[in-house]
Amino acid sequence: MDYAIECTDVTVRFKRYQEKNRMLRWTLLQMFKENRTSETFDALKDVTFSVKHGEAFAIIGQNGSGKSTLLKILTSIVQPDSGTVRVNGKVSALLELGAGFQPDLTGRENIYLNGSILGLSRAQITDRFDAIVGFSELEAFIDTPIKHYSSGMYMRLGFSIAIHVDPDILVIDEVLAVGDQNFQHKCLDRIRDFKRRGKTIIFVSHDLSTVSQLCSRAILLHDGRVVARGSTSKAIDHYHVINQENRDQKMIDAHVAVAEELQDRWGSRAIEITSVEFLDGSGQKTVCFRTGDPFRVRISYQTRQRIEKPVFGIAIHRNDGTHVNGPNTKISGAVPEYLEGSGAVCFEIESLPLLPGTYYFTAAVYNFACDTPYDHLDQMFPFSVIPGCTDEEYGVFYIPSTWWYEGAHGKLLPK
Amino acid sequence: MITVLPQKTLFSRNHLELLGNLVARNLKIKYKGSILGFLWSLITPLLQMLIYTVVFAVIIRVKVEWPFAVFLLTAQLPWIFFATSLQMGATSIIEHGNLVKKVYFPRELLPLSTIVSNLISFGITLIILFGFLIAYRIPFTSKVVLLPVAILLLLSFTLGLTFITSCLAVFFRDIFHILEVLILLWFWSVPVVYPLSLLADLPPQYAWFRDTYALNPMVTILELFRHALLYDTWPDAFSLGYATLWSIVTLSVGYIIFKRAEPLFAREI
Repeated sequence: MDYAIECTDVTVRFKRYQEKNRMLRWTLLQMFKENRTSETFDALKDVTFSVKHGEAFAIIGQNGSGKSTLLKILTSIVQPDSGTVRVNGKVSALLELGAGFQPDLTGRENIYLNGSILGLSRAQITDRFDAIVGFSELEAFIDTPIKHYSSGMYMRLGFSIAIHVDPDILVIDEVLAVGDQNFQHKCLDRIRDFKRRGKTIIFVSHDLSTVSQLCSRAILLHDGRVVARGSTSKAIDHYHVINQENRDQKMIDAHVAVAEELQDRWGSRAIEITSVEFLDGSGQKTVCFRTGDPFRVRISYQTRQRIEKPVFGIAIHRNDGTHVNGPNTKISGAVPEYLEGSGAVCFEIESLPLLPGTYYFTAAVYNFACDTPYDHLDQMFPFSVIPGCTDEEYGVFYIPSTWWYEGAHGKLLPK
Repeated sequence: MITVLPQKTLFSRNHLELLGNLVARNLKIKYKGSILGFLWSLITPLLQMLIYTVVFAVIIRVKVEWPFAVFLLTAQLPWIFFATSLQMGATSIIEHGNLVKKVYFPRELLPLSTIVSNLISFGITLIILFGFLIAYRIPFTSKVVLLPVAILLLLSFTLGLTFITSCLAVFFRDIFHILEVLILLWFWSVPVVYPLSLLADLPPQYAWFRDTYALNPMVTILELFRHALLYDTWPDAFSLGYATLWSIVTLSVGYIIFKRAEPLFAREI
């Protein structure tokens, strides 16, 4: 059999509890009720897919689309109500790092306990102990009870144990969102190394740029059903369509209201920013760009009165908080004499130099002295960048550059 | 962590090691941070014994043919094992809810690890009992061969019940209140603080009570401990067979119920 995982028509049905009622009285009452219409919903509905050995496979979808339930099926934590699952090989899941850690025990004791929960024998753990500790960089704290660990240290130990189980199939659920960038890179390197050794990877993430770097095939789940399958880029495109539909709806009513609640919006509102749209090279709305693509933003406004010399500004932050840039119309010499009524200001980057990742866009309008905000929407608009004109991945920007040698031998190897 | 099919057998080597690790963890956590550490597992039953001896031997003047402390301990120690196992065992699945929802391993290892760590504590407390037996110069007789039998019956009866309570607790949180009442009731329905012989001289109109009382398998199991260490008489074959049957049936029914309910744990917790 050359499939690592085969799922056929998997359906999982959950009862929808009004409230989690675990009292005997309630259950007894239910039994005597005439029509027990226990409301159910399908967390997964007829999900069919297969993953080949050695393949890196992604499962993407919005929150509540059934991704986590599907992973629980694959790891046999939950049994499907109908359909079959065949898993061919030893699975290790990075579902929740450090599940089963005991705060009162030391790092060392927890490695043994957690390792054996994940299916390692004592001898295997002893063999890999140094590697686990080394990878987690916790040498100095390994005999400290882990209740004294920071959450980052906790996660590092959890990841390190899970990755050293050395399974045939590695299931990763959104765990790379933890730890500092250094450690995230180390984890990704480890996962790539895993892939090189021909192991199978099931990857679930919202981080689409990592998904597209790592995985060749994907399925897209929506409301428990598979709505797209095939190449990762196709599934991601489809994901953006679904996301965009939701987002358009939310943009209208939620963004403005929520922004105020979150205190991510401030200003006198003499001019109000009414919408922010990201457009691709052909003028289509999108929130996903490739490195090197044209990047255009259309900021619509509405004034309450005549405003003299307003200054529009934007900022881009990466999701780790790095402030990427922050141009404004005053610096660029694009301040109008006055604005009145409604209109839009457009901002364009001919070739987006950002490297893959998730970014947040800020739109703001200030007075000419730039000391009084009319309207400021702080990091309210997310967009993602996926690999495009370059394979580079370290840092923030793609800066076109060249390499050459003085005194090298032979021809250069192909890329 | 899982192979092609979730492993049905408990006795693969890795699972035995996991059981060992879980037991070690239970014991470590129990005494971590306390100054007297594992001495507590000796102090608590000793204190209980002291209280019961004062109340029943001194105040109420229950008469037994043996030193009351020894008489008490022979049944009290197995009882403590039974009662604490039921109570701690009931929480064993839900207190590891996080683990059950995230990782697959045979779930029976959770109640089993509670029982095994209690069994170890029980073994340690038996040292006190032997100390008292020697101090009071009560000789060990050939009946001592009944001791492993008694422990085995107690163990399988307790384990069977714990399998049931631990999975009931997943579905009904009422089980803890029910258990509390049940254990209190049960404690006074077994001959721990009074001798079984007291029931022999009940007036005839209470004969039904004596007969009902004898149906309780824990009566026979606890009496078996006294046969082994105090009475110097063999138990009658009928009650031995009766207790054995109960233990086997409870364990098998408990395990079957547990395995039936197991796939639902991750959803219900």
